[in-house]
Amino acid sequence: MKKNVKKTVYWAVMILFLIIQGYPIVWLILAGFRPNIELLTDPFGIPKSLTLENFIKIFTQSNVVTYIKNSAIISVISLIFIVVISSMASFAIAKMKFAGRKKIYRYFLIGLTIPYAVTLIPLFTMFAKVGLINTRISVILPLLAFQLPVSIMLFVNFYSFIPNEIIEAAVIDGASIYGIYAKVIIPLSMNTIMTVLAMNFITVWNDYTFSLVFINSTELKTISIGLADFIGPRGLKDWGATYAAIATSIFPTLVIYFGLNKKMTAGMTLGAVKS
Amino acid sequence: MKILRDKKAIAIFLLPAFIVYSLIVMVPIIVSIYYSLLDWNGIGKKTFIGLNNYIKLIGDNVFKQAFVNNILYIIIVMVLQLGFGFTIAVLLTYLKKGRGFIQTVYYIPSVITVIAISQLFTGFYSYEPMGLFNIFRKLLGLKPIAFLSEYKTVLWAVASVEGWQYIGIYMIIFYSALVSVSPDILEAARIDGASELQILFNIRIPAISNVIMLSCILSLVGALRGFAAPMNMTKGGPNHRSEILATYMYKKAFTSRDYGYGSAIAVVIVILSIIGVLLISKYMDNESE
Amino acid sequence: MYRKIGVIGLIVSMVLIGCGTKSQSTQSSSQAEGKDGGAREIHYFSSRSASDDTIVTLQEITDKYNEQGGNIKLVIDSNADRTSYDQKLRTMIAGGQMPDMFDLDATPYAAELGEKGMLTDMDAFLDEIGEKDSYIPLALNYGRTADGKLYTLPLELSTEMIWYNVDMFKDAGIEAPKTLDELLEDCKALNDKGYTAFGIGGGDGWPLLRLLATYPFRMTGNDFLNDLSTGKAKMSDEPGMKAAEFMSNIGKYFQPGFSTTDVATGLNLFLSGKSAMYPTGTWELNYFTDKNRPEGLNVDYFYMPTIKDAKTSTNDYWAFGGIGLSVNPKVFDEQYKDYLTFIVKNYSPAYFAHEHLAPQKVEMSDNSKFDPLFLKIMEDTNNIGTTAARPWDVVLNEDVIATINDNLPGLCMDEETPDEFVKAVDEALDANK
Repeated sequence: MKKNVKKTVYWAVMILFLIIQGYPIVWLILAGFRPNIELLTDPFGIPKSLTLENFIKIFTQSNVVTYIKNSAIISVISLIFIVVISSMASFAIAKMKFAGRKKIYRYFLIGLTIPYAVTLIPLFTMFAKVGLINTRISVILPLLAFQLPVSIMLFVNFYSFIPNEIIEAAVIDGASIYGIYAKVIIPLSMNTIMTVLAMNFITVWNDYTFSLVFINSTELKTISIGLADFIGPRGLKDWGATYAAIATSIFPTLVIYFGLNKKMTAGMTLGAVKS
Repeated sequence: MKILRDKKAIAIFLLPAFIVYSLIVMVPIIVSIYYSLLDWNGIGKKTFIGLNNYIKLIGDNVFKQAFVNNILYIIIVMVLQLGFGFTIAVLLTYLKKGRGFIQTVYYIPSVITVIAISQLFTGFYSYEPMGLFNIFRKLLGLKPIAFLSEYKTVLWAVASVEGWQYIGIYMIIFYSALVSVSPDILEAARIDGASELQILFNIRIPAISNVIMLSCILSLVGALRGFAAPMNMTKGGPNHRSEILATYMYKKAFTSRDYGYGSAIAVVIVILSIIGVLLISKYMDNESE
Repeated sequence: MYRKIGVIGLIVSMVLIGCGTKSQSTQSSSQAEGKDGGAREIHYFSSRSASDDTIVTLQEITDKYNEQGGNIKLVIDSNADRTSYDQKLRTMIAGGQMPDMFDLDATPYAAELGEKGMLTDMDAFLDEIGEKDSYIPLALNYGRTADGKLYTLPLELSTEMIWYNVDMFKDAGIEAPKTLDELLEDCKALNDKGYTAFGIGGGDGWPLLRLLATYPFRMTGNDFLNDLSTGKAKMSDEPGMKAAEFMSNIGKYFQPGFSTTDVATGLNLFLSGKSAMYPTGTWELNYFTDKNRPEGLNVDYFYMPTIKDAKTSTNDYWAFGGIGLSVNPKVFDEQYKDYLTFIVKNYSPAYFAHEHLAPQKVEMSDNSKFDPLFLKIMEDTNNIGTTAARPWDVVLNEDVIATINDNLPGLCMDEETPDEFVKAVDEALDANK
């Protein structure tokens, strides 16, 4: 009897949490399919009618397609550089021998705590001086730099689990240090690479701060900035279109997440748990 | 192994990351310190004014308010993320079926752009048309509240958004740590007649204390980085009641064009962050011992 | 070893520069005459959304210009979120990246840029092409900075009014207020009847600023505002105090949560019969026409109420040319000048055809196409006084405006006293002298 009560309470709590975490997301996605007027009058009622109108509007009358393309280009380029550069540096930190190894590692980890906002003013003046404002690279570079610490942390962590014997064996087989990295370490770390990609994709795709400050032209805007496009004169906002754009913008992250969520959560715990 | 001491190779592996990171993350911090000593509006002359911006900071009531708010903001975010994350993680360990599904759903908010999340919660908090929270209050027979306008509620409302969004991350970290505690020990304790609460406090929590510590630091640092949610929901208002250091810095620099003063605030944020770093490296030292 | 490092550095920088130029070439520098016989690109950084009729009209005119032998490609970068537009424009200019054409209000910032020779003098330009008289003076003069210089061309003509729900007013036994005191009494009467008197989009800032500015405008015209900006007056002077007290009084009648309500929601509160009054301008006229308004909703409007012994007359109220068009003088060559001349000569009739009040005088041949409400408002503007009220966010320094915007909601909610409010504003004024 008592056990049953406990069980009921347990499930009630679990389901309550499920609703707290899940409902907002369901609402967010549904909102894109609801007429503007309903969002303004009865946003939390049961949807009376669903429509594709908002989506038709944003895909035919706005630049959402361009924005998605830009976000995709920025994400792909950043991710390639993040993986290549951070895995290389991590290899040196984890497996090679040199003085100040730990200091270098710690130097990178400082970046984990630096808020984006504090670098905006200097970066803006720096980029302006070399003519990088309003180019994709002005977004890619900061994203790359700010994502290095967490990526390096993940790679170093993984590499420290690779037995040194494997490297020794490769050396005896006559491999160069570059060969070891490319032919031994990289194939072994495919899983970690996927983790790093998945985690960074979310951050890079969702970037708001850097695109906001460094990108001006419609042609180069990313989707998170484009969400503010549906504002008429003096702040008059088209909520239906805005939510449709939001739904469109979170779609790729959800696909990646459902496809790779094991890898992603693995990444989260890899850094933290290693007992 | 000589090959592992190859200096040239070390340089090739390390330098790209080192250069990009130094140039984009570290150099701007140093430049910020320099700017914070200037009076500069972005188009005019840069005038060196020494520590005047900092002296101004000390007398600035809004800055004080933002500072206090920021501490409160961090505490709210941490309590939500760690408290809920831990509770759910513990509960999850008792679950036999459907755990994967529940974990997946709990984690979803963490992957969604904060712009969408803040838009969503602005709607949830709304007074008119009635938002979700006020619908609940009405059902409970309470008077509706304009959460984002009331002085008393606004900071809580804004901080809860970031707190809520990342609960899933901490849930997963805690969960993985909890299941790594040997089941044999737990079983032995149960046979000895220990209650689940006793097991939790006497065995499980001590066993994962280092993970708890690290989670605290991660959550602290994450909260320090908070910016987009308050900026998008309230712009720090009403009357700075939800102002935090990052929003104040942004507004001073980019709205008021007081780049020197904005940079001084940025330097304060960096100092706070460095305290976070010290905590992290302390943790890492313990780890490597 | 060092040579190798150098080589790597070189590779890294080449890769980076490679990316940079690639992405840059897509929107290339605008000054260059079109390569391969391509059109001259003019980059227009706009604060309006891409579907706004000002932008649509400019595009139409550009097409027409090109049909008549011109060769201009107008590249429009629009940034509809006004706060972020202002910030972006400032940071672009600070970084030496002024757009070829952009939207600018006649703010102290504009004056500062103008003094440095960074803006094209429109007085000289309009005199040169002989088009100054084509403009409606209040639209054109709205674009003058405090020192009387003109750096922008108006693209619209807007007036602001307060709409009210006729049935609610009847129910409360009141009529459209003529004075600010009556407005407060009306609010109270509506409130007693259980109505939300004012539905206001306070989250967007400007609607609150307009109400704040009302008292000083009626007492002194624009003098108090101008004196505030030059440091001759303080917010704690009588007009400022009156303004603060008025806000503290009327704030009680706003809908709860007004400080984060956006304009769209505010408008909808009114249209769905949840608030009795709603302040807005002619740009939202479309929502109030017989054709578009929800059925059964009876509305009317009144202009800025007055006070006893007002210095300005009742037909002086909010009227302006909107954020105007500025031109980067560095790229303003003969070709650009020819194009801009064409715009000035053709803009207003085309804009008017979209059912908007235009900044230049337009000959109206056939008015049957227009909505009666539009014609009525147009009639009103023909009888408008000579002293148009100037918005505070155009005249005062942006830091002062930020302070006012930060503090106004608190004042309206009775969390802050008028004394505290004026003190905060005066401190900001002092700090920005």
